[in-house]
This record gives sequence, structure tokens and C-alpha cells, in this order.
Amino acid sequence: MKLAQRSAKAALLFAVAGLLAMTGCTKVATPEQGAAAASASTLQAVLQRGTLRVGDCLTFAPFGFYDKNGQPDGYDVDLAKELAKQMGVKLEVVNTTSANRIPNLQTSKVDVVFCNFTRNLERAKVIEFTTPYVVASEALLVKKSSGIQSIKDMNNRTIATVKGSTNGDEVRALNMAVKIQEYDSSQAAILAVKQGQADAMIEDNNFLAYQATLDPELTVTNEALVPLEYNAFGVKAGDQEWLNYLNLFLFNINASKLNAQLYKKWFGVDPHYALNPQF
Amino acid sequence: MSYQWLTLWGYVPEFLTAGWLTLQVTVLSFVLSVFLGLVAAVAGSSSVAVFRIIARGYVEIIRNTPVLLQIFIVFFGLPSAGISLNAYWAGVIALGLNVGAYLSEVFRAGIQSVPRGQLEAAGILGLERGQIFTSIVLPQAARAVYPTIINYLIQLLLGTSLLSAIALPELTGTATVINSRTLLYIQTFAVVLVAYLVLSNVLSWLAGRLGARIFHPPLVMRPRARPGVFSIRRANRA
Repeated sequence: MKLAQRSAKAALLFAVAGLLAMTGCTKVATPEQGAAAASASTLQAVLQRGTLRVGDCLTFAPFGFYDKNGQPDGYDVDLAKELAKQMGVKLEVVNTTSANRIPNLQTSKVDVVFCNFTRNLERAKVIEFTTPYVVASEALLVKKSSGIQSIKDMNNRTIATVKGSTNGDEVRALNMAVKIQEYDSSQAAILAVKQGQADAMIEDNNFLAYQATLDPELTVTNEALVPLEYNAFGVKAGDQEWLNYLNLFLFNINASKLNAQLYKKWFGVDPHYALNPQF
Repeated sequence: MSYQWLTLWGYVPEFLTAGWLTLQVTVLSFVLSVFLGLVAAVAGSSSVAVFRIIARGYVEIIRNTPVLLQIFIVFFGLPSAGISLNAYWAGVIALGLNVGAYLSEVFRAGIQSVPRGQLEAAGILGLERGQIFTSIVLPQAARAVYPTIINYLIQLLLGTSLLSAIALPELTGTATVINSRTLLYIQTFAVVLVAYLVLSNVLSWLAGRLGARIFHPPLVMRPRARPGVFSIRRANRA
């Protein structure tokens, strides 16, 4: 190729890289900018629009999944329906994944994210959490034939995790010689365990208990791998009005025991852990 | 803001490992696909009916199903039939199978583009069928289709991004994992975008240099055109 053409190509490459670097230098959604740019809270926007858009992970039964008729259903969806009913608006459930929950919030594609969202300080830097609605710990899903009883048996084995969830970090923090595979969805990770591509899968123990009931070959280890996780709803940073509203909603459904009833409907048992431990 | 780029800088070793893995998978599956493409092209015009049926069947099935589905079948489905592959080899084989089917059509066109008169002349001169193929048909066909198969090499490089669905830590997969750990979406995607641009340009340039060397007279490649049906027609006209 001629020198001029090659230089032009190189220049274009640097221009593109430079442009991308510049976009990287622009802030996405800082609290101050968010509050200034949005003239009204999400709460007002939802009431105005007449539709509540809830981001839920519809590949995570029984929290969220598609039923026989292709409609969203599950524990999270029931809570969303209750919230929409209380607000007097229509409900639109938007399917999201662990990995794109936060971008969906930051770009206002959804008004609130459910999806068994674990609260941690890293995430709280970019979005805001309500008070908890469900408490969970983590365990391993293994094949009964593998003989794995706990995480200590996982040396030199492979573990499947889901991208964007807290599980990958927890496995890395264990400092064991375990190989980690990160899949796009929990269904893919479960399939990997079933097909022997991975020896175990780490996930919320509520979710795993439900999965083990669906397949006789699988079982859940009897352990709590992490301190209890208080999962909440996620909202865009800087929206105190919306946050207050959601916290009041949660207080009401907990005080009236509606939350506990819905939990029992989907998981078959009463909630294990108290939502408000007061240390 | 600059602390964000600093955080990402700490992940450079992971990006480099991922880039190297991407290159490995690209090259290995390209070699496999060229081999499969040649075999399928020859078998597709063979006089033995069984070979023809198998070759045509392979090409039709692969070309009419999504490549992501093919990757899932090789990785998640084969263990049910007793064949368990790790993500690396499942990816190489699935992509090799996929591009091989497309390349077989390209090779078929290339082989047919060699003038019939040469085959007849070679026959008269007493050359065997095998010799005619390897010494006369193949070099000319290769020259005709070289730009097109390099297009497919680049497509393969970009197609390795699909292997993130089977948890192979190549560039795209690593990017999404780092994304979920650092939550620095724009910066991570920018880095990986540039990485792919660099890799594809380096591969194209290397292929161009190789083409200039192995063909007599040296094959001068025009700027890379879009792959697909039109480049096959161009190969036919060449």
C-alpha cells in the first residue's frame, strides 16, 4: 500500500482512539449532574408517564422468569406488580442481566432495578440502594455424583460464576487454586455444571434451592459461603425523592407481612434471615 | 476522572493475555477452516456420491444456522454425546467448522476459475489427477481467492468475541468481566475496541506481506473490501 494511504489509515486509527479517549473523559452520571439535569424525580416521571419500568433478571427463577405464556413471572415480578398497583400505574418489566443492571439505570432505560441486587459499597459509588427486601447467602450447586460437600473440596477444580454478580469476586477472595469461568447468565453456568464443563456453580442459595428441585442430579452444599447479603432495589444516583418513596413501599409490605407471604409462595419456606438485624 | 484510567491500567496484563488468547484461537481456527474448506470443496465436486452428499450437507447446515448456536452445541451439547471439550478447543472447533463451510464455497469458486484448457493440456501431457490438482489448479486457485480468505480471517478474529458466551477469557469476555468489576464501561470498551482495530490491521498487513512473498508474481492486494458474495464474484472474475 502507498505510504500516503498507510499514513492516512494510521491517522484515522489515532483519531478514533483519541475520540474514544475523549468520551472516556466525560462523566456518565455523577450525582450533581444528575440532579441538575433532571428537572423532576423519577417518581414524578413515572406518575406522569403512567408506566413503571422495572428492570428484572428474567433468567433467574424463581426471582424472575418467563412463564408458559411467555409472560414475566416470579417473586421480583410479584413485588413489581404490587408496586405498580400502589402507584396506580401500568407495569413494564424490562429484562436485564447482572452485567447491565447498572448501565440500564445510569442511562435511564429503567426506573428501578430489582433482580436480587446485592448492596455493596463499590456499586454504591455509581447507583443508590433502597433498604433490603430479601436476605441471602451463597452456596455451591454441584452434581450429587461429584462428592463435593463444601468449598474446601474445590481445590484444582473449576467453578462457574455469572458475570456482573458478586460471586466472582467472592471466589477470588478465597485465594484457593480454583479455576473460574464467567458466564453471561446463571442458566449458562448451571448448564456448564450439568454438562461437566464446570464442577460447581456459586450463586444465591435461595436461587440454587429452587434449581436443585428441578433436576435430581444436582444438589446444593449446606454452607453459607459469605456473610449474609441484604439485597435491595437499585435506583439511579441522586434521586432522593424516588428512594424515599421506594423505602416507604418496602416498609409497608414488610410491616403487613406481604413480603414474607410472597417469599413463601415462591421458595416454599419462610424467610430464613431477618431483614433488619439491628446488628 | 484520571483515577479511572489508572484503575484500568492495572488490568493491562489481563488485556494482554486476552489479546494473545484471541490471536491463538483466531489462527488455530483459521488453519482448521482452510483445511475443512479445501476438503469440502474437493469432496463437493467429487464423483463419489457419498462424499458429495456429506460435503454439501455440511456446508448447507453450517451456512443456514447461527454461529452462536453452533458454538453452544459444540460446547454445551457435545458432552451429552460423550465428547467434552474445554472452552478453548470448543471455540476453535466451532469457529473452524463455521468458517470452513463458507471457505469451501470460496475455494470451489477459485478452483472453477482455473481455465479448463489447462486441465486438458495437463491431461494430454500425461500428468496424474493428483499432480494436476496440487501443481496447477491449487496455486492458481489460491492466488485468485487469497484476498477473500484473508477477509474471512479478519471475520474470524471478530467472531472470537462470541466465545465470551462460553466463558473463554478472550478480549470481549475479559472486557465484560473487567467491566463488572470496575464499572468503568466506557473506558474498558474503548480499550478493547482499539485492541481489535490494532489486531485486525496487523493481521491484514501481515497477510498482505505474505501474499507478496508466496505468489509469483507477487500478489498485490487492494484495500480490504467487504466480505461475502461480492468478493466471491470478484475472485471469479480475477
